[in-house]
Amino acid sequence: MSTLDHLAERIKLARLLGFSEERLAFLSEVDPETLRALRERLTDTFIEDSRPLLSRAVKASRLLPVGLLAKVGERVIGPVLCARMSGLMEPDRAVEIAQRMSDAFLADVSALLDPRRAEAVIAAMPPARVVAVALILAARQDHVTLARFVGFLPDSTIRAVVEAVPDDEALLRTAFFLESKSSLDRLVGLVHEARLRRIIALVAAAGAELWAEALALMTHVGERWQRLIGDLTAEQDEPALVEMLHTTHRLDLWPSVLPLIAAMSEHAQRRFMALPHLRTPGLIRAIVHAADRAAAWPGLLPIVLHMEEDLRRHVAAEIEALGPGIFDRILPLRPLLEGRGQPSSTGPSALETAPTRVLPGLAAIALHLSDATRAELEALLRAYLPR
Amino acid sequence: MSQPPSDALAAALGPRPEPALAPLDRLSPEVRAELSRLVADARERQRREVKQAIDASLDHVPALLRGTIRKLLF
Repeated sequence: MSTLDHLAERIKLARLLGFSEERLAFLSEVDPETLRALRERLTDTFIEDSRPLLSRAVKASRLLPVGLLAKVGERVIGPVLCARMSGLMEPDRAVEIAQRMSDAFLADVSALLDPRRAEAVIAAMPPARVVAVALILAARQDHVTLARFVGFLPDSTIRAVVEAVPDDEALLRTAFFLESKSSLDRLVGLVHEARLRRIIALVAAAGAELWAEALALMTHVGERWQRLIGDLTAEQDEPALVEMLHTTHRLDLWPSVLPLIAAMSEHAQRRFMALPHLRTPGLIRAIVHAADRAAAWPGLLPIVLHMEEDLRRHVAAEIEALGPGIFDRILPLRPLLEGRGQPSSTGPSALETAPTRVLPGLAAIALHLSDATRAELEALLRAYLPR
Repeated sequence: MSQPPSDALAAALGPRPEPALAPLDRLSPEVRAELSRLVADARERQRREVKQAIDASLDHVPALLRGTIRKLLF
């Protein structure tokens, strides 16, 4: 998700600084996490710069009727300062003033608001008003702002927004810009399955560009949603699935996509493993190397079970070609044998669950290994199994 | 150990920037200078705009209350 993360952070920082996003192109080498920390620190600094005056203005505003404040806020003070002042006001009064402002102006304010500082105001806004503002943001294609609010609105309001925004692509692009995995899981959980299916069909029809972003999203959702989204994806026609695999290969996303496929239902896994595209020269080799490089064996080996025999033979040959010691990387058993990775009170450790995920797949390819390599694997397993 | 930069960016980040901001100390001098300039411009402009907006809003306050509001503000 790094390209979009970076774009989202540049947009948000550019808005804070009052410049266009293009002016910040020179920050392409700075990672998104640093840009985010920079934005949050500068937001605090800018607010602190004007806090004494803004606090006095908020105090003085208590003498004025909300109707007048809404009018002056919209016509004179403008969205930047209204966004700042909203976090300093009593939430109920801020909402009362906002209720008298236009939807378009509130959309302007939303784009400049730091939701962390106006959490109580956001939570107190009537859902119908949030929906009206969200529709304007969606029409403006301001997906960055829509995404920022997901973490600060109740589920019922988010669901109302999701249902009111008719554009599937707007919903997808909003998801691209969500700031946390938990927000993504939450949003996916609030979208009906039929709509998820439509969104996946949209991605499939759009081709490579959208697949790249969608795959980044799919690999970031929790396992429960990975299974549902993966199964819905497997319903797509063969060219769409080939495009997905092609994009995965082109962008070297195998370490993330293998666990996604492994999370799918057996039927969906079989569909992927039956694709003739997997027989593209060099593809299995790239997948095996990616699994080794990123320790993604618990993603690859379960799906080996659903491969045709000739593909399993191919996987076995590529694993064998990785040389002696490969099974120590596939099966993290030695730490267990040496007394590390003991069970914890909260359940089995990753070290302990990994073998159960990879062993059936290993058994399936063991038949295709040379005698010497199979002996190496058996020696490791014999040392482990008496336990 | 090299000294942390002392520029408008460092001033905006404050005396104890969090560890997440450490990569900014390793930017090339050109990138650091450009970022510092943009932050300084934005900071100055926003200070000015806050003052101007508050001044301008006074014109819309009913005359009867204007003096009181002005005293509360300045």
